[in-house]
Amino acid sequence: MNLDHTLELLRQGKHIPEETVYSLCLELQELLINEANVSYVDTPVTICGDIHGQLHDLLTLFEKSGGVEKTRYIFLGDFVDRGFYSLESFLLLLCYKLRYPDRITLIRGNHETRQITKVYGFYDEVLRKYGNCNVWRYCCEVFDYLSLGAIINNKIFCVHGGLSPDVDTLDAIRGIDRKQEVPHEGPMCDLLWSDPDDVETWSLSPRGAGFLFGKNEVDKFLHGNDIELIARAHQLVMEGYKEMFDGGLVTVWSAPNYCYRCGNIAAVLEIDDQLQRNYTIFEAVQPQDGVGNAIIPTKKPQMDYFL
Amino acid sequence: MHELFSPVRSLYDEYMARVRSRSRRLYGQIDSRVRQSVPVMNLGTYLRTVAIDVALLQFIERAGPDTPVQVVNLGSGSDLRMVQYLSVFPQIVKFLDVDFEEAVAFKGQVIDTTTQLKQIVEQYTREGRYELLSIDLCDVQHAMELLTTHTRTDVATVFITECLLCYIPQRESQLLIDSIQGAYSTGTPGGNLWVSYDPIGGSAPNDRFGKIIERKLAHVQEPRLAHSARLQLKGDVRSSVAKAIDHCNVVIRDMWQFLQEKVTDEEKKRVAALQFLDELEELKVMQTHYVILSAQW
Ligand SMILES: C[S@@+](CC[C@H](N)C(=O)[O-])C[C@H]1O[C@@H](n2cnc3c(N)ncnc32)[C@H](O)[C@@H]1O
Repeated sequence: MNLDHTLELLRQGKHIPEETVYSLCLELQELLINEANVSYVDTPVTICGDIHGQLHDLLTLFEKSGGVEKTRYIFLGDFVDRGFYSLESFLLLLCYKLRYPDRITLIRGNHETRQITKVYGFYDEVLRKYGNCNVWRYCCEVFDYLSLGAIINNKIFCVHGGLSPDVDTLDAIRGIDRKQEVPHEGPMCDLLWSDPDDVETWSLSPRGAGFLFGKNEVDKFLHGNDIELIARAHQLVMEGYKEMFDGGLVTVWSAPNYCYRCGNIAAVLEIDDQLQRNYTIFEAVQPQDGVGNAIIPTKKPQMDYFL
Repeated sequence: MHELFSPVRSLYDEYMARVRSRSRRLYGQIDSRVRQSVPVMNLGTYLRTVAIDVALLQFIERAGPDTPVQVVNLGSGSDLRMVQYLSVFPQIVKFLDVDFEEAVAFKGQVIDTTTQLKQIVEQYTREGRYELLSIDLCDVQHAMELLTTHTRTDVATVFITECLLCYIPQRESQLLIDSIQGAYSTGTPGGNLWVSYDPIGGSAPNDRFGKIIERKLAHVQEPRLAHSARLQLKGDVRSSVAKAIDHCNVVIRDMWQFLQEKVTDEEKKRVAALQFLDELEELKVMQTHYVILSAQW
């Protein structure tokens, strides 16, 4: 496999042969199997939230934040589903990971599962593009190897969703057997599904998976693990990012105009060597039809909102 | 509420099958929307339907089984609600569907090619309980003449506007609302009700989703509609519709509030079990941009 060639095809949103995807996914599994459940990452680093198959916006993200040749990145998961280019977005990140293994950390999101991708678009996208679901299966195998979190300079904990009542310490996360489909309950599920909210204590999540947790739980986790920030994604934020609980937690969202419809802006969070936070916001690439930079296919069922 | 839905599935299927043979294009549009619909969309459609039904049912119930009721569905499109309501509520003496000539002709022709549905509709039509009427609602004076000859103004009446007012220019929709309120007298047993479902938003500086709806409306495909697709979206929940109907008893909720306040936990669970919904934030963004309004006079 010629990595540079594949990268070039991906950037243009072009078709990648099934065999290439197969070998790419195999190599990634070999690479990821050696990573810990919670990877160590050094500053400076740029934290990115949900991508959801918006390839062109992902390319903008790299442009606006320095690019993988110069910058370290943590992606908080939800690479696939909803957008039209889940496959290309995910493969692009895999190629970068292969090329710059120390410069890019990929954390699993709640959409990186077989079950969710069957409902929310990635499975259908692969069927549409290949006529069979092999490529989807290869990617799902990779999903099972993605890390559950990352820790920056031992001070900032990164995770897709949030905390779990079953997890008090980072060591508890390190003890999870992560190489499996995301279970419907338990600590691994909670890390990918939970949300911060104005609640006194652990509460049921309206999503039907994970929990709601409040300032008390966050303060306890920060204090108990001697860290100062939880950086997570998982929830659409119209302004791109949102700090909560006196700055003890931040939600970062990196899919602008989510689903080509929501109108939101996107953000990434850069953490410098002094652990200062610096947000970069960006807007969606303008949709264009047909020739030139085809961003969104001409048929856009998503745009037909109920009127 | 349940009895409204038990017998109708086959009728809807029949209608859709006939739409298919009449207009591949339209069928394709509806069908792909149904098949590709993601949970947020389905839930939105569900909420919209239920919100109107709840208002209608409450009104009919309050009026009591002995009070005759009329229902006027303005801009009814392909809505087949009339079949459900006419079969369950004998006290509905008239159900009037109103739309543009083309839309009315299309609906009539499609029904005409069905079997089961046609039989039912013909029966209600014979009994004088159902009518499908073509009116351009922008021509308010003419519309009022037709409405008042095809319904009684002294019978408790519900007017439904489900995504209609956003297509009618501000001045005309105000005039239409005023004229109807003037013509259908207060003091009839049961009173009158206006139920409206409308998009809102777009004028507040940071209302990004509202801007998207606004842009979408400006590009409405139907040439007939394009000229009037100047939405009177307002930044706050008290939409232009509410302002227009404000001298009577108005209740207005955005659809997110409706979901929180009016849908029981049990029903929420039932719906959640039908299709897994992850996109709560997106649902909220969307649903806070639609309102259900009921105004009684
Ligand atoms: C978005 S559709 C809604 C249809 C239906 N109420 C529903 O919610 O399923 C709007 C409908 O209003 C009709 N309409 C728009 N402007 C109209 C006018 N000036 N007079 C009559 N009908 C109109 C359109 O033909 C169309 O059927």
